[in-house]
Amino acid sequence: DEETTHKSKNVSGSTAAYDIHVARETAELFQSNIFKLQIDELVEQVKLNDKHVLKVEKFLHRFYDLIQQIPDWEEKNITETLSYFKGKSVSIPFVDPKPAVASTNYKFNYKAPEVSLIGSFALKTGIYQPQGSSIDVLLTMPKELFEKKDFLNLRCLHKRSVYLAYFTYHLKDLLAKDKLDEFLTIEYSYLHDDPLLPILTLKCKASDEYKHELNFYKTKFSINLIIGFPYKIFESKKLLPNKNCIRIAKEDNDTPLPATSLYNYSVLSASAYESYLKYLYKCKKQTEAFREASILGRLWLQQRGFSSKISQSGGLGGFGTFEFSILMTVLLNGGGENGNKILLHGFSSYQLFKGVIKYLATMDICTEGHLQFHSDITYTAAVSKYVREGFQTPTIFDKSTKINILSKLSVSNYNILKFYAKETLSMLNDVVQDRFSNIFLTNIGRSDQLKYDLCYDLKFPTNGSAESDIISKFTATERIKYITIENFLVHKIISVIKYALSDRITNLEVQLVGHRSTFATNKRKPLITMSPGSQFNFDHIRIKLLINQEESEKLITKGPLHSEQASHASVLFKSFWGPKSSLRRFKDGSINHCCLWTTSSSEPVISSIVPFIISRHISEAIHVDNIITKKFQNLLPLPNLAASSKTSVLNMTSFFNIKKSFDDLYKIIFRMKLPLSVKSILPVDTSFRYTSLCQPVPFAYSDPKFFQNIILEFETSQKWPDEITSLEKAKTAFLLKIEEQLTSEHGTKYKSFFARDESIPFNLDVTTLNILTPEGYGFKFRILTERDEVLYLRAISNARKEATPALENTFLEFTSTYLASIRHTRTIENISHSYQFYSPVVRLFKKWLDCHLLMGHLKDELIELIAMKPFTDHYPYCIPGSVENGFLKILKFIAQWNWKDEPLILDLVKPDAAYEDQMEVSIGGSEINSETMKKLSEKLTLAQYKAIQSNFRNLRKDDPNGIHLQFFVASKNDPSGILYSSNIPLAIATRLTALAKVAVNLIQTHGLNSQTIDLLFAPGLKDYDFVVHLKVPNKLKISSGIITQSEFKNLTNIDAPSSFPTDLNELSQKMDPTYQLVKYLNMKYKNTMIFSSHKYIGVNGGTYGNENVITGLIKPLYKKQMKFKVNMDCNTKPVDAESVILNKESIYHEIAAFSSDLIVKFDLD
Amino acid sequence: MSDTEQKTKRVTTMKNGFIVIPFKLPSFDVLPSKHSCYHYLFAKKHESNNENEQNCLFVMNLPLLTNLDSIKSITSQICEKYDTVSHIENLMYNDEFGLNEVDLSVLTSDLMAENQDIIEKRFTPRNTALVKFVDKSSLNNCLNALKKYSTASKSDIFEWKYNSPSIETFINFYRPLDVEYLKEDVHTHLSLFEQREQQAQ
Repeated sequence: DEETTHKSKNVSGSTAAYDIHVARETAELFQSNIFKLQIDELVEQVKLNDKHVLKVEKFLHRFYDLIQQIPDWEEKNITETLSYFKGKSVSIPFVDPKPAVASTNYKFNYKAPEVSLIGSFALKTGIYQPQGSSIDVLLTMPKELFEKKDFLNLRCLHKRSVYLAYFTYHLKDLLAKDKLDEFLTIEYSYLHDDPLLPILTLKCKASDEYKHELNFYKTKFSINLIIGFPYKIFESKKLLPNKNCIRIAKEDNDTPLPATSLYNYSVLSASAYESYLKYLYKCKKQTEAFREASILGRLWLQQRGFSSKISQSGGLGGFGTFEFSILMTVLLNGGGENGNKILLHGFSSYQLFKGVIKYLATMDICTEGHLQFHSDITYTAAVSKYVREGFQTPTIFDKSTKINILSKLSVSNYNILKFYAKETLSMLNDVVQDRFSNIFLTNIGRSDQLKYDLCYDLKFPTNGSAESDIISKFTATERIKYITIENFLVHKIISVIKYALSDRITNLEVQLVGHRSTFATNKRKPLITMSPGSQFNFDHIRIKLLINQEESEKLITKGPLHSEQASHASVLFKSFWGPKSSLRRFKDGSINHCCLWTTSSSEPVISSIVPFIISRHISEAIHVDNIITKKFQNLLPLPNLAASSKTSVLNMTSFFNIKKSFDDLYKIIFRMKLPLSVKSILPVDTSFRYTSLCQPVPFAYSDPKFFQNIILEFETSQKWPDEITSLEKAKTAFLLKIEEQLTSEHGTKYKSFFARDESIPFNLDVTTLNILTPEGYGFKFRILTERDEVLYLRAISNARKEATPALENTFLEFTSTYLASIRHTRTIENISHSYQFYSPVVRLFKKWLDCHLLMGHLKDELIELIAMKPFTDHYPYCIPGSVENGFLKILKFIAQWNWKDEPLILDLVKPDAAYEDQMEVSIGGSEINSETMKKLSEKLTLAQYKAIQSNFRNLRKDDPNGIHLQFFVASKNDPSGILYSSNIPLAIATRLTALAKVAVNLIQTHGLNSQTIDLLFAPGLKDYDFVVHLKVPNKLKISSGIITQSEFKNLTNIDAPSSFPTDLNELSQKMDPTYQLVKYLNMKYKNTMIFSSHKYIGVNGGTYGNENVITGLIKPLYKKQMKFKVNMDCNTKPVDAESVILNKESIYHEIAAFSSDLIVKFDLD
Repeated sequence: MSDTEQKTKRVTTMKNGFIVIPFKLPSFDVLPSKHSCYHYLFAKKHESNNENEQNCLFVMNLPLLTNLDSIKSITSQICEKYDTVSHIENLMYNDEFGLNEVDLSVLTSDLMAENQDIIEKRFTPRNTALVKFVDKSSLNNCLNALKKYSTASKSDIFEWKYNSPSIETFINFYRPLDVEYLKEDVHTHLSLFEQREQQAQ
């Protein structure tokens, strides 16, 4: 029998798996069809304007004629060359170091070049870009200008510089003759930021003023004139990446000179432009969707900040459209281990793009292997293949030219690229949500604070001391390896940071801010303006990090095992860390070298490490600046707990303590002998899901969230009264019994009292039992029975028509407070372990909301769900890894959220579950094991997602403009999407959006700094119709459990309550009367006005937590004259016998009378 | 009604028959006191077949925290001024904060169904109430006095005295409920409920 059951289970299991597989395939097909439509639209939108192309082509023809007119030159030696240019308006853009007159024996010359178009314009894969695009024109120097050995010691580069200068000089002359210089500007620049590759750039002046038929200003094109070498002019083998081609004198003859891979690449690639154009062109002809796919690649890379620039000088370079297209072509010609084709010519652009992304995401072409191919199109047997041999540098090796296409891509940038490819692959595999705009349309590089978790600015002092430190380390050997001191510095910084931070970070980028690569034609190289006497080509350096949340705050940097004979690793560790390094015995008995760090509430551990190593390994004089992180972390209320200023923002101990206290109480109540036995006792409040604005602090009963809600359920019973008041009284009877037993058995430790509860509108009979634990926490127990829901639903069906909406609202409140709160708390608690920064981020967001007086109008659950968006639905960004990153992403999301037309649908799952599930399907596809099934079941399915979308559409049918409900926030827990967001006044919802927009705008215009952060948290009181300033008699900050960093610890502790008062009536003295005042004002003037105030007076109520404001907004409808009606519900004065107007003065008097003891100032509009 | 507005014609009765009853408002230090401010109450004789609601005055826009005492006090002042007397019995349906707009108990109970129709048909809009007089003459006396008062000169307008809550009022919301009272309340209610239930069976 057992076997049969087993079998049948198996069958049904596989049937289900098969069904899911089919469903998934269908969904994928559907998704790719949608994608196809979106791609078509996108490609159409970015199409180059034909008229613009014609216009610029007309210029190019004329320009070609001009080039032909440049006279040939006579061969010149260095002295003659220099004297030729002396006093002329054009300088020779010699690369560093420029040729010495004494030792330069070779000759310089100019003969007419071969002119051709290369790049995407030639390939016709270019797109319209708002900032304009460039056209690459190749001028190939004739063969006769070179000698065989010219590849050595920069000789060919110097010849090219002279060639370029001569060309430029005559070109300027010819342009002037034709009066083309009126609208054209020409300047030198380094192509792809490569200091070995000066080119000439032509642009039209940014003005409509110059009327000329050839003026192509409106097309926004610019023209790059690139001087190339003839194909295979030098012996490629000698320029392999591991060869040295710049000879320098050195003392020690035994060690070989280092490889000059950057130089070799620069020389070789200058002779291969055309051959790659041919290689790509051939493939494009064979592959219909090639053009579209390369456009997709270009957009994808651009939105992530990647380009063909050399990454060795900082920034995200090394992989641009050219590299993408080459990779795609290579994969169309093979790419598998046996040379099997990864992509097929018949693929759609979607399939091609996805194929390239998948290859980047899943194949290692750096440490474990590389990709090789033949660019020579005449070589018919050319197949590309993956070879399991890694060169520790990203490699796509061209056997025809001996060029590694990825020479410009640093290892650390390769890792970032791979990371984005993985993220994108997950998005492409997502069959539930449409990810198109996240993949192609969002520019994630626009703000460093959104793209990265932490940013550090390295600032150099003006006295040049830091520079001399670095220059002293930049030896001749380093120079030939890295070419420039900037490249050397970037490399050095990346190496020390990687070693120092190791697994604390996942990715890093180093950017030279203010790096210049263009310069006037009368200059030899870019003008450097960092500081007087500076030799560096940048203003400052920015280090940008993505955090590994699991490891970033660990206290110990663990080094190698200690052994008597020092190993290489331990010597390295000790010398790297110097005085920081120490020995430490671990639990398992091993002794390791390690460094010990301290956590802090204001800064991450990384903020201690970075300045230490920069000072130790780069220069002591460099100032490391990261004021933003500190400022944001200090905005979080600091709990009045031991060593709280030394506690990391990721530390959850304060939350674990309240949970522990609850567990003890839970056991006591569970064991009680009651007429019905207890089925469950479930916490449903913020501290249990780590989201309370203030951390739980013992005895801090002024905190509005001090009493944490608990739902108690008994076993099923038929005896619950069938009428709501009696039901509530019966519940109270049970609570009374619990209280009785608690007092008699645990009265010395636990205190308790009863309170009225007004959380369910119109149910005035709810009583809660509030229990105070010996550890200093408070819990508010309420009882849920199986009868409640039935009765609330009955009330709706019995009610007269006008009262139905109010009762439906009551039902919603009941559902959210008693039922959904359980699921919500469980889910958030569960998944927030995987999103370490969620807790501090959501708490900061709550503080921001309360600063702006919005907390009183928004439910904690709603806020928590909105704050979860950047975590569970983080694409195209990463999961937030710092307080500021998460917080700013929330603001950005709200600012952009068009809630009228868009629902917020959240898939509340852990990150790995989501990711692995998709990876599995993408690779295997057919095999779905039980684990995957489980994960699939946790994630939102397409059907559930569609159902939620249709709920939203139905809602908007009745309320198209979102007048009644603005924020539709749904998840598996609440497919209705309205549970936590009904009842928000329209003015409050629009204010939230407006505030977020202002905040994002402020940051975009003025950047993040101390002032702008202060402004973000300053309430705009001028926007309201009136403001009432209040002061309460008791200071409530300390008793809310909050201290400020500067406060003297012992002093504040005296004021902080360390026990509960014997007479529990006294508790109320330290509670906030303004909260009740505002609540009743809102109830009284519900129809005409909206009152707001700070809900957390301890946090936002001034230095001592005893100040508050009430702001009033008069609803627009009541700002004008209205007809006198019996049901107008409004304090009015008559205008004539039929009309009235809002009696503001009377209302102000009522407010003044109502707040009489608390009011200090009344500001009227 | 500011001084300037006073110059324009004062409205004493609304077109649909409501008498406009002005009260001068007390001054507050925190509010600008350039001119006098007024609160306006609107009143009309209540017509109803409901036995409970005979001899009633339908009032709109009662000032903040008005209760039976304050309404008694101000009407007696007005009546006295016009040499008449009137006795108020009750202030009904005054639900300033909308706490009782819906009676969940009635709506969820089958046992209480007998009263349901009456209660449910009774619907008073927000910001209105009924002032019930002891008899018809009291009502008429008061109504006549109010009519006169509505046209009284500015100097004859009475000042309204608010019932201002103190800080304690707000803090009291946080005070523990008295356990003995609670026990008694639960006990009484549940035994009553049981009784009804038994009767119903």
